[in-house]
Amino acid sequence: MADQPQRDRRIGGPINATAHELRREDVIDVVRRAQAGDQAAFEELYRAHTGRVYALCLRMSADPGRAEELTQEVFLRAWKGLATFRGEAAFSTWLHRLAVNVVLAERRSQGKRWERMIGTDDIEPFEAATLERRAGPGPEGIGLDLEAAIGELPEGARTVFVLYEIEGYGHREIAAVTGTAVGTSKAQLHRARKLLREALQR
Amino acid sequence: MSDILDDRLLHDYVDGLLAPEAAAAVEGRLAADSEARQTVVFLRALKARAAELPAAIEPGRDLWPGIAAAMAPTPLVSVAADGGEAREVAAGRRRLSTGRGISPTLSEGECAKSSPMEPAAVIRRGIAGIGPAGWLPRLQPRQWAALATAALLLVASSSALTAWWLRGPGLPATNPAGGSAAIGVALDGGPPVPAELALQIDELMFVLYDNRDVLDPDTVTTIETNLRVIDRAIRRAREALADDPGNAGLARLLASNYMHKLQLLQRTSRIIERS
Repeated sequence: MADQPQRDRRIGGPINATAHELRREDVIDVVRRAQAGDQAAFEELYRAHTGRVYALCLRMSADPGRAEELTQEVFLRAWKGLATFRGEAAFSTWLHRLAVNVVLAERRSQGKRWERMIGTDDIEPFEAATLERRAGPGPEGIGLDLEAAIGELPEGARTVFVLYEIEGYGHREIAAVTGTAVGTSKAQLHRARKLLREALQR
Repeated sequence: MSDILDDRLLHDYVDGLLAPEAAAAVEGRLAADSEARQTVVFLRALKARAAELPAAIEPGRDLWPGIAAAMAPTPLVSVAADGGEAREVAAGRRRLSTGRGISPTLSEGECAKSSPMEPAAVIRRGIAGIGPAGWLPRLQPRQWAALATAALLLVASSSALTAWWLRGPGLPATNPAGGSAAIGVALDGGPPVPAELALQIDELMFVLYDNRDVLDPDTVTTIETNLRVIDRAIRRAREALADDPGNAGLARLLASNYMHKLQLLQRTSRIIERS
């Protein structure tokens, strides 16, 4: 597929992931074709979803290069595991959960123990100091570069903040995917917000 | 409102997690506490800003070529194992991208034709291979000691596990999530702690901890004791491997330890399902 100059543009416009939005019925059809081994169909799924997957990987890893690798890994896992997708949930939901699992699994494989999150209820003052000063506060006291400030959060706090505030997970879901307690998730969110406040309102 | 508990109450308030009475109490305090009001204003603004962040971000390059290359069928080679068994494993893990690659992992696809290995066979394979008839890892005395300790721990855990398993109806073929239990072992000298395997173990650990109340306390004790023994064996093997990262024998032993843990957890999850 990589050397095909003309991609199937039936459902999309330019080769731009966000432009490749699939209608629900199209997704079902494309998924079925991909499940049958049609790589072109899988590429359509990739085009339609890569932006969201990459955004998640980027925000959770805070490393563009790593996020690209993780995104590739997510889609490769999706390809391999496509047969297990039964359509009970939306494909995007299934893929999103897979992406979260891949990022967290990669983190574990790198030896960055999630257990470090446990027992971190207290705000660690030095961490606030490590957050660089960002653009000046806006009307509500929040600077412009929230994305960058999120990227500088400690790993555990960043993960929970991204999952809770951006991806819409609840604390119970976060606890489930990270293997921690609900209280830990809440503590990390609290910690992230405190650090962001210090970073963004300076 | 400098008290940390009160501060957290404000976070729950902004998140809508408080009961109506508690929320009303917070609102009552907000009227008289300007610092708390500022906190609430900030938290609401932060939530609004976070919600406005783009849902999708384009990667800096087209990632599809790398994915497509990795999707290409990988030639399978038959690798003879001891006892006349043969397993098909992927010839090698494809690198998705050059440079900093993700650690090679095993996958169902790569091991699709392997069968779930009985733990004792895994142990035999891991230990019997360390000898003249099989591969002979180059070990320093200290590494031999570590390996011997790991092997002893694994044998001990195997004995306990075997006794425990004998009280139940055999090994499960699948995990509760529906995934295949066919997990292979890296034979190409690659990192032996596959992320998928670690994730699968973690998922089953969640099952155990979420459902421990439904199990008989003695069963929970037995499971936890065996898990501790296996974890010690894993830790020992990892330490030995850290001293000699390229040692395929240690890699194989470590992988078999992980699979041992997986199978114990699969067995546990089946018990939970029946409870």
